[in-house]
Amino acid sequence: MAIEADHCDVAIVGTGAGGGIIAHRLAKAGLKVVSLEQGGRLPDDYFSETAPPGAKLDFGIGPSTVWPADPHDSLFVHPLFADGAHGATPRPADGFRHFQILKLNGLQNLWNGVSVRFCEADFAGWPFGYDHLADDYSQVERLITVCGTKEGIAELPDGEFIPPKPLRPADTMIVNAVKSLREPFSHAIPNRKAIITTPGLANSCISTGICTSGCPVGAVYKFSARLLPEIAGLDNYELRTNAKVTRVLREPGAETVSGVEYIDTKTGERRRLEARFVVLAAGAIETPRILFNSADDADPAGLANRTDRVGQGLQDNPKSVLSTSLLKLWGHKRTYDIGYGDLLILMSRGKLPDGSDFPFIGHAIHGLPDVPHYLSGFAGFPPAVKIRMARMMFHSYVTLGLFCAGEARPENRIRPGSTTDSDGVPQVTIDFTTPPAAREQMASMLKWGRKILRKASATKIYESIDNNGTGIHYAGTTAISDDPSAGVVDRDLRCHGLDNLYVCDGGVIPNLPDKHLTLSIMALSNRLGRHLEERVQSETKVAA
Amino acid sequence: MSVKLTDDVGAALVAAIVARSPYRRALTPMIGEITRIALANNQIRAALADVAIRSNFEATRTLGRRDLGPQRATLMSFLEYVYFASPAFLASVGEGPKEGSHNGH
Ligand SMILES: Cc1cc2nc3c(=O)[nH]c(=O)nc-3n(C[C@H](O)[C@H](O)[C@H](O)COP(=O)(O)OP(=O)(O)OC[C@H]3O[C@@H](n4cnc5c(N)ncnc54)[C@H](O)[C@@H]3O)c2cc1C
Repeated sequence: MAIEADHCDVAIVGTGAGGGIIAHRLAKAGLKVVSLEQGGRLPDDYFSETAPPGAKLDFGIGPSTVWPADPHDSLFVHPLFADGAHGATPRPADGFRHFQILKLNGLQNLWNGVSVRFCEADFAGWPFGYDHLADDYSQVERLITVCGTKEGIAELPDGEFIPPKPLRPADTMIVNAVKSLREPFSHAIPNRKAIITTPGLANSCISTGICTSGCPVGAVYKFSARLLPEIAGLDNYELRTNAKVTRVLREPGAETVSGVEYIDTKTGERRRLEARFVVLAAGAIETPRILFNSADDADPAGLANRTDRVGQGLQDNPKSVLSTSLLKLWGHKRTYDIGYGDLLILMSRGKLPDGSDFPFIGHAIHGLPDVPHYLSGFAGFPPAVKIRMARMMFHSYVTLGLFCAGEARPENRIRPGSTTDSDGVPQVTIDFTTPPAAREQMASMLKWGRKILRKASATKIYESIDNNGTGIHYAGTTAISDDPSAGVVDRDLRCHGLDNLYVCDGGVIPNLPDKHLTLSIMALSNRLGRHLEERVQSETKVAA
Repeated sequence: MSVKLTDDVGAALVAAIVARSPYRRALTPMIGEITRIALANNQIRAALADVAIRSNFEATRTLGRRDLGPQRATLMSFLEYVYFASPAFLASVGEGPKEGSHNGH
């Protein structure tokens, strides 16, 4: 790795989904690249020793575990999630639940790896369509390794896949339940996840049954597990951790930026990095914060914010979650590979009271309940009965998590806040209310989920709905649009009115479809890498 | 209300509460581990501190039937959870510790 530079071709802020792919691409292309990452690097054994999945360490109990707990909330209690003293928002108790991981790899330390392409209809409102991104999807899929099967479903374009893990009895029951609906728009197909399923490699999937607690072997894609090792030794690449970017620098009123200012969080020192190009990939909530905090006399409302679009249109996928125990699996012993837990993607269309319909997507999860969330359903039974029930039902649990599209509403937005974080950097405030249509859609997804589970021999069904940040698919706050009054970045992800400032994270996705967004963030990141390579080449030619 | 709970009072109190749990036979051999985890957990530590005050546990080292008070449900849920997440219970459903891996048998 290069020694610390004070100037580079491209400064990339963040190493999550958006920041990782472009850093790899540009470093490989020979540009002088510096990745600035607010957090540190987790020890290699963090997910095997310090915070392993399931009940392996301390029965899965940490300092913040609570009783009674909502079984559907367990995902959101993890020591890696930033608190209100360190994150972009103060995380008020009754506000939007903003999840941020301030470490190398960002949210992808805990992501579930589901990697699906948007379809043509999902690009409505974008300045380009599916075909324009198809090659980037393919390149990224090969880079991050996505398992899956080709299905020929127009709403879920096929990609470049390696074989998935085999379906288990619970999956087959769900597949049969969906088939029995005889609806041409309802599908249950093998999941598409950025996981190395090929056996025999150092980072092959070891079947923990759950990916959202972090992968102990790096089988699930994240920057440090796959791409960083390929560029870490290059002279033209530098990863600077504990570097918290506070603002983008420019001469007031200039149309080019000169670099970024950051805090070395180890020493508290404020430092600068000059760059020909700056790419903000700090996440859909942190990037607007950096833009607001970059305000100067010429742009007192923040950089790239002349039309007040920065922060507007925040979206997250409304979701419905249903869990049950399948009667037909009672008493069954496990003779199969539990794999990565959620082996199925589900797709269908929900009906609304006004007769219209809408698409939704989700997954069916069948893991091992070594952390006994099921106990809340046993309340009232004597201990001896609980023990018998728990043994009989242990391998019978299934959860469906279903997501529908977000809705870009101007009043759902991020704005400059009145608080500061522990480093004294101004935070942002989030205004968010669930759109009325989302409530109806979540109810409709629950109805569909119930139907499927009952056909598969469901017993008692535990349900929840939420659209208050727990989808953790944040989008829309620096939206892409060719019209500067309708978005923040243009088709090349360049901020309107600024020649060399780019954004590449969830914020640029203008309308969040039902589908998981992260593969699209990574495809956009690959595309931006290509754009910057071409730009550097052509500018170098002109200069020569 | 919550006050500081010294580790030795905490340990004796956890042992006294485990003795009242219906799962005590399985839990007693793990008492050291349970105590450490209980005292490291924010909610359980606070609940133990409240019980210690109510029962004057530091002085008496005894726990009366009513002393668990409103913390009873939390503390008993915690112990029940530990029982069902314990290696012995998991082994009874064929899921022994296998270094985090759950490949087919
Ligand atoms: C439990 C969980 C499960 C998920 N499952 C899926 C899934 O299956 N499929 C899917 O598509 N998506 C999933 N997601 C969402 C996915 O992780 C995010 O959509 C994606 O990571 C967003 O990428 P990003 O680049 O926008 O932001 P991030 O991944 O958050 O990256 C931002 C980076 O910027 C860094 N940073 C922040 N502020 C600064 C600063 N001021 N200076 C320098 N660096 C900074 C952060 O530390 C981080 O590295 C999941 C998320 C979670 C938490």
